[in-house]
Amino acid sequence: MHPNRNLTEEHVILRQSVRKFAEEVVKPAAKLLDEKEEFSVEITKQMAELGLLAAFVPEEYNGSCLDYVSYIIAVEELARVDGSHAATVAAHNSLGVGPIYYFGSEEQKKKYLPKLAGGMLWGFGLTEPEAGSDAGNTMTTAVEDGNDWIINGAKIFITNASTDISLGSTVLTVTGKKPDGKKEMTCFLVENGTPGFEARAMKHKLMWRASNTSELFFSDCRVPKENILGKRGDGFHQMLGTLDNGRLSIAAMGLGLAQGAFELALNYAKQRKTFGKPIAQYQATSFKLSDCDMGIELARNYLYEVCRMLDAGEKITKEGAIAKLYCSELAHMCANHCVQILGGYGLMKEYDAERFYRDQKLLEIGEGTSEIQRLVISRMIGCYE
Amino acid sequence: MNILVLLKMVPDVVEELKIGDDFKSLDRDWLRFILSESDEHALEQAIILKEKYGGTVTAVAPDAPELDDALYSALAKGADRAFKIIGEWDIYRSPGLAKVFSRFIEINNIMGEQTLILSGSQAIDDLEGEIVYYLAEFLGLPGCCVVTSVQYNPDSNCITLLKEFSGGLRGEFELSLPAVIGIQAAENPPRYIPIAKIRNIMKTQKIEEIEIPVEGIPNGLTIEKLFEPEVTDRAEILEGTPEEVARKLVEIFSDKGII
Repeated sequence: MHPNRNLTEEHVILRQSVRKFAEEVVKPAAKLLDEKEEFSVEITKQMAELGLLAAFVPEEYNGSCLDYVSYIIAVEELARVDGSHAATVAAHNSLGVGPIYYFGSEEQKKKYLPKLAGGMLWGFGLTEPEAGSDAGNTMTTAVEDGNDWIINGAKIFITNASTDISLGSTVLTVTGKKPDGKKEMTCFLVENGTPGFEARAMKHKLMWRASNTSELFFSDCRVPKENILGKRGDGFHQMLGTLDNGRLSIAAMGLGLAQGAFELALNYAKQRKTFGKPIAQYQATSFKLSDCDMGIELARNYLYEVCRMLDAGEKITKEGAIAKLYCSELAHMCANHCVQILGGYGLMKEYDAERFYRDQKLLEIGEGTSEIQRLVISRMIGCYE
Repeated sequence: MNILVLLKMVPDVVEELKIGDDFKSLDRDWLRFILSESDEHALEQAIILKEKYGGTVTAVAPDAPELDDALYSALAKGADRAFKIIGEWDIYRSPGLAKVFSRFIEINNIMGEQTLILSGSQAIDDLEGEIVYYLAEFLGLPGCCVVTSVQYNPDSNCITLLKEFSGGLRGEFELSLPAVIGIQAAENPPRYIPIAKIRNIMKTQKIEEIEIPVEGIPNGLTIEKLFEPEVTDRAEILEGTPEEVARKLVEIFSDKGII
């Protein structure tokens, strides 16, 4: 296991400091928070102090100014111990901070980014009850009224939008029709507490139970035109760009979870004995573990490479989809093997195996299902031309 | 107050430990090194004292794998300077290391009226816990170990220490500076460093390397043989009614000549 191959000394130190925090602060709390389905404001604030909540934002907005490789390593290290806390950080950076940083006006950046670096959270309202990957079917509307816009509609499965420290959400709306007949989409920044806007936590989740998932309701919610993100009509492209980058953080979560599950399974297999020898020495177990290790090596090398492409300013639509798809399916395999190797103990809450097993499932669904990723790849290689 | 913190890297026992082919040391291929836990506390206590009373913090450590990371972290936490002492250190134990540190202090002219030297109480690799007393002896200074609290009185230039004894007893000590102290636990748990700060430190500050002549430095204890605990016969479980068990016990004791 050489997670630091080809990394700079800076990356290595960053990994060590996030790992230390994850092991000492997140890991001891993760099990109980998951069981109680409770979001921890306390730990989120500590993650903000570490600089994890505005990872790639420049220092002038109080960000940590990390390159994408560093950010991805941080998410990976959190996911190695707990999916929920990795999710809070990944969603906040990629979906909350990302759109404001990449597409916001200078005023919007100055207004929001320092707060979002300092421990307030921001959601990204894209998915609707009847529009997920099919974003063109978005029903939420915004209608111009003097200097304001009036938003009506609903969003669902929005991470970080309704905690006690949530400041607001970016909301994708339909604002009219384009000359080609397609919907004109515009994103608005809507703060929590705006009259007509309600963000409500969704409960009874299978996974990521210590992260916050919300439903957003808009009923004649009035926002000033200054709250448009970028320009009117830019919403669809902003959303696609956000998702391209966001996929890498989901990939990092898959890689981290795979690593955590693999380490747990390997340690257990070396200690647990049946018929007089450790189960790691039976091929039924050792081959599972070697498959996990092989997958993790490949996933890590590829994911970091895609991050370097992104840092170099290259477009990563296909590569991001591959990384996300591969890492999330790897997480599925490793979590499955982990539970299988732990046997009966793997099914009990006492071990982290069952939480890995539940948490991995989101990765094949969120930010574009595995099916959608295959669609993106097949389009990029020209299948549909 | 000018504080010097002595640091040491130790094997991370989370990793599997294997004995090397020489049967005298651990197999390095299997080792990952981390800063000794009580040294982390010593560093934290040093930073706390600097924040409270002003002055400087200098961190120094003998070269070891992954030491640079630990020293950059020390700078990011608030140390002003970080020194790496170059050389082969494996063979040196507490008296040798204490001698090296005392030469380091001499060469760099660190000793002053307000100098406080901190180290962890005990490292997990040798469990000697002696470096503080050796160094205090070499420098002719007062020394105290297993300390959990340090207060400074600038008027008298003295420090007040709490030392923990077994059974929950605590002793309060007063030492005049300069002095050498072994920290068991800092007032607060060691802090985490904002990742941006580490980045900036790596760009703006340097780890200073220094070579200390080792002639005439004693090794201290040397390890003759390192081995894993040998498995001996398992315990015997006596079964039967209490009377039968008691009878068997009496038999065993008299066989062994105990009664």
